[in-house]
Amino acid sequence: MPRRKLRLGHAVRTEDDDDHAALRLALGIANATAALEQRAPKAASVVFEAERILNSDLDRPIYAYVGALHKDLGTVGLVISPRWGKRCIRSAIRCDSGCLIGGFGGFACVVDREDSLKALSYIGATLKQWQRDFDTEMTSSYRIAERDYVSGATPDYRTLKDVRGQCIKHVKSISGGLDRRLWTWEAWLDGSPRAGEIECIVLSPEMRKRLESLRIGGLKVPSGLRILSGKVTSSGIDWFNQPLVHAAFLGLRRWPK
Amino acid sequence: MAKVVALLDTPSKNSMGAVPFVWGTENGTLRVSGMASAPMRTVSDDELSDLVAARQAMRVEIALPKNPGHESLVALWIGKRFATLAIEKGVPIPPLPAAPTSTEDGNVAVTSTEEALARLESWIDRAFKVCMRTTDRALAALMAQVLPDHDLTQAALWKCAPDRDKESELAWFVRLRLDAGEHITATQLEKRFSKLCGDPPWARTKLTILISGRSGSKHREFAKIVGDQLTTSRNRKHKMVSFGEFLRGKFLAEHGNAEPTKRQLQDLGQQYIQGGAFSFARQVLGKAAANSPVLVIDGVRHESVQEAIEFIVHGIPILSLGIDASEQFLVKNLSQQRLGVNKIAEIQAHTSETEARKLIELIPKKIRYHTDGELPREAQRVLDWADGALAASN
Repeated sequence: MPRRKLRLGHAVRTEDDDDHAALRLALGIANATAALEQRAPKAASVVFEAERILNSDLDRPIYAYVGALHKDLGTVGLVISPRWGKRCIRSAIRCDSGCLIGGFGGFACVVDREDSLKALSYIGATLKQWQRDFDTEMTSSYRIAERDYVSGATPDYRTLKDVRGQCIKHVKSISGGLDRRLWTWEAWLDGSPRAGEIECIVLSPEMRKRLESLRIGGLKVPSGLRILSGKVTSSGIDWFNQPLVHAAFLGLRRWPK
Repeated sequence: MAKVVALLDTPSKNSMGAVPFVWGTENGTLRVSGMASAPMRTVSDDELSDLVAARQAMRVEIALPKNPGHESLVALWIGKRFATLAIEKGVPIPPLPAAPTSTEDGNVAVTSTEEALARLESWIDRAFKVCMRTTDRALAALMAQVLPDHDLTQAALWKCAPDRDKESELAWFVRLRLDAGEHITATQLEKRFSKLCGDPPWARTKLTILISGRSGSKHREFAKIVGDQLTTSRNRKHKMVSFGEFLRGKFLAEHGNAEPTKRQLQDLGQQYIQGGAFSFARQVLGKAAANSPVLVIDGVRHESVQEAIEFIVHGIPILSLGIDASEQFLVKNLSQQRLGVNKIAEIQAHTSETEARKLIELIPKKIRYHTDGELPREAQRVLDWADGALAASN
């Protein structure tokens, strides 16, 4: 299979009292009637600290993950064309910057977090290398490159020559749970994605019902926008973490055989 | 005691559905239950608070009888507004599987994923049948608040749409299906919807006969005689399904050719009951049963299963029969199956037998025989009752 350029993922979050708000925002972005904005982080101190370390003078960025949707228990996700990244990327980081600075989960063993963040980041002059290094990591650290990455596989930590490899090794040594934010690449972007850059909206089962309710009420769902929704099956429920969504991050309609 | 502390996916007061939940263990760890790809995922307090703040999770407090472990348990949610509308539309909600916990917007109970899905699908079946009769678009829209991607839901929305909107309705569902990786054209989907609308589940069934009997009561033989006489003496097409035969089939599928003992079947039946009465009933009834003019169901042993069947086939006359055989008759028949006194005592003390006894006591129409020769006579009585029930429904 030819190499695929990965899409960016953004889990839409609002704190509006209207429980359709996240859905309306996502549809609004896809319809060019709304824009994605920087949002107030929950773990504000660590996020602001990471932003201070990497770009103290700039406005706050919009966050996305390369090839993943997080928070994975969110209810509305956007899969966004790599064109957004090309147009707006400000920084790329080889892991979740907030988790690293906060020493969350597998990052707890990292002592010098500020230096580690700088070492894992692409910013300014180094930014143009991020895509090439990302591609290299896909082939060197995963059995089936991007396919493994988007489906959440743990990379071969021996090939990760930075603090992430040490963290994965440490977590494995104590039989701890691995959170993919240890190795999922993060992107900081200046500006909202454009309507045409939204390739897919991913909805939880309850959000899918809200979409149907809005549609029956007369809402026009943007044409050309792919809609993927979670389902209730006898083995459980899934929405963000399912093969069709993983395929969408590869720019495919179906998970490759 | 473990308890559910939050529902994920924030179900609304307008919906009915199954959602994953977060439960707290005794040592304070929070875990997710019901996510297929991450059955034992942990959640931090901060992460949960963040989800709640973003209205992506809803705090609740529900005691759990036992730790979910690796079992796939979900929260079955019935929104209060949904329940009101469903009653208004003549399709009441299914009963909740356990004592529900009430929240501001709805009632919720924890159950297995299969059971939750079985209850939702049973409601969808009933709503679809009503929709086909009334072409009530509001009811079809209500179905979309349960299982929006179910074939019957989409067929109902299409069927109940004004003529001018039918094409766009179909196009929307084709779009969703293509997005989800299904290869389908508008023509193919229209054909599928037309077929479903022309033959709703249970629309052709005119009568359901439920037969309950204890072990050794020859209820299966009696059910067969009833079935045979329906054909020979009344010329009525029927379909017979049997809980015992279903369990036997499942046992054989798992254990090769080793014929199950009565005790093994009883244990297996209890496992299915613990999994959920609707799920068990739907599996036994199967799809084929839904369209036979007379359906004979043999081996109903639990009140919960009887209630599930009554919900599933609602609107169809039900003839519920309890076989009131003497203890002597039961023991004689069990002895003939080469079962010793101890084994017979063990079978009769089993929970499923106790449940069957309780159920039979509740059934007003009793079948009584003391010898094999009396079975055809009693079957004839059933046929007379069936004639009456069919005449009344006509």
